[in-house]
Amino acid sequence: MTDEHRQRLSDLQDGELASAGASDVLNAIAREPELRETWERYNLIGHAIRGEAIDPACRVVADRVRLALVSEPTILAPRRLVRSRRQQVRRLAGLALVASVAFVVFLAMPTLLPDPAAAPGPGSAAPRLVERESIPMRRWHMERPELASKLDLYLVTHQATAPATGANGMLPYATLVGYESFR
Amino acid sequence: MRRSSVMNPSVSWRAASRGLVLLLCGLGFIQCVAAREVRPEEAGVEGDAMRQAGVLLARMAEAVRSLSYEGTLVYLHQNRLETLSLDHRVEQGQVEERLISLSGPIRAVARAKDRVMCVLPDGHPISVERAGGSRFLDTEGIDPDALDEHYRVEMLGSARIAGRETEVVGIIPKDDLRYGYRFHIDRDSALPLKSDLIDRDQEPLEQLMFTSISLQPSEGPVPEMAGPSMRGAPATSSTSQWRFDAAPAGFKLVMQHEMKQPDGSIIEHFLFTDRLSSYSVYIEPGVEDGLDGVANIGAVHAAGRKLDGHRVIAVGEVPLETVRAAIAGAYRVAASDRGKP
Repeated sequence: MTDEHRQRLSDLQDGELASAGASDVLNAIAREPELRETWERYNLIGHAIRGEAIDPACRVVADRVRLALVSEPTILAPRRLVRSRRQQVRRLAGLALVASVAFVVFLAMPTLLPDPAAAPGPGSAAPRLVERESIPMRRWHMERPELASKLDLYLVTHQATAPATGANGMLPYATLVGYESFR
Repeated sequence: MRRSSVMNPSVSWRAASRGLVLLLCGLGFIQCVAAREVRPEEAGVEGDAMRQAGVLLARMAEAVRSLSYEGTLVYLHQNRLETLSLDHRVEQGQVEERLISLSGPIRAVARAKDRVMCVLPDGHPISVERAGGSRFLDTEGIDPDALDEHYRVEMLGSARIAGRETEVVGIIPKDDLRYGYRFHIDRDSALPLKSDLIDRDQEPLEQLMFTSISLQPSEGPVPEMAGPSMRGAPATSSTSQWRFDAAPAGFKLVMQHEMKQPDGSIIEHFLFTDRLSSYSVYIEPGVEDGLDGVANIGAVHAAGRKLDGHRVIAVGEVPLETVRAAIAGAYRVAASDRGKP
């Protein structure tokens, strides 16, 4: 096993290996016990770094699964049997059941599915404080304080000239007062 | 010999059962689609909801204008949470308001009848006034019908804020050129206990919420309702040397005035609004030390560019695309054409 093997194993573990290369590495892991041991060690290191619980009983999982598969008896699919009259009756009962369920769905679907046109009931709008990251968080151009002061003046003049109706009260000014750390 | 499906009972039963299920699912789908058709009684319910929202918004505007209250708010923007203190007093017919940050360096905004004062860290104190401006700092209610072209007004249920029951009203923008609001309006006092700035998907951009509030008796008479505010002003056309083509959809010029600077220079100020959202365009002489490009402070955006030895800057609580479009359409006319619209 070379350093390149180790590097590729590490990349695979971090999800950074291209899918084309992944199959080669997986084949190599299947062939070489040493690679499997390294893979297991890398997994343990990952668990430890992330502070996850480590179960000592999970060692050598790949080999244990392989041995278990070898010792499992082969399951042979039974030959399809010729349908008896009893089975025909069962199929009829099944068909009736399917029809009943479909009919119930047909009747109940409008009730079960929410109607977008309907007004939401009381209590449906729980207050949410939702984090959102789409707007870059900054306060004007802090590297140019004169420009930032000018934009502050323009914003205050704008808000004072066109006060938001009784509607949002001081909300526009909260933008001015609320941004502190980037000034 | 090849067996036909007619001769094979199991195949025919399978086909029949599949056909039956498909038929019933199809009928169910048709019934659902039919159920989505707006029935007359549903249209009536929608109209009632609009009326209810209109009444609530009018009550809210009146409450903000006439009640005295103070409280603590949280202001959430992106992943940051700030605590603010708000003191709103109505004394002798005058509204005075003060908003102070309780965390970080002291930042404050105070509003009085004819003046707004700001104290911000590392910046010059800002004081904006408009002598004799009868419509300065006016507030007015929101008329849902007037917003119909660019917003949807909806009742969004109820919620509990600061220990009080509220009704939730949404003013939802129909496009990406403006923001809307979601107000949680106190059932008793009609004050907005939580205000969200939202986009067309109703995703909140900024949220301001009372965590505690106390109402106090107002002293003296309630402030008189002034005339229509800038946002309600009729559309006008520029009479200066500057014109604006292709303003963002729905935004109209409603005001223009000149701001005299300490050095004697004049900055021209143009206000555009769609009756709820608004932005201002400032045109200053000279092209040095100005904004070239875009900047933002939260959901407030600004865009600037050079034009004929001047700098054009648009500022407003509107999306970036809106301020960009606002400055893109600015141009200068010859002196002989200034009187023409």
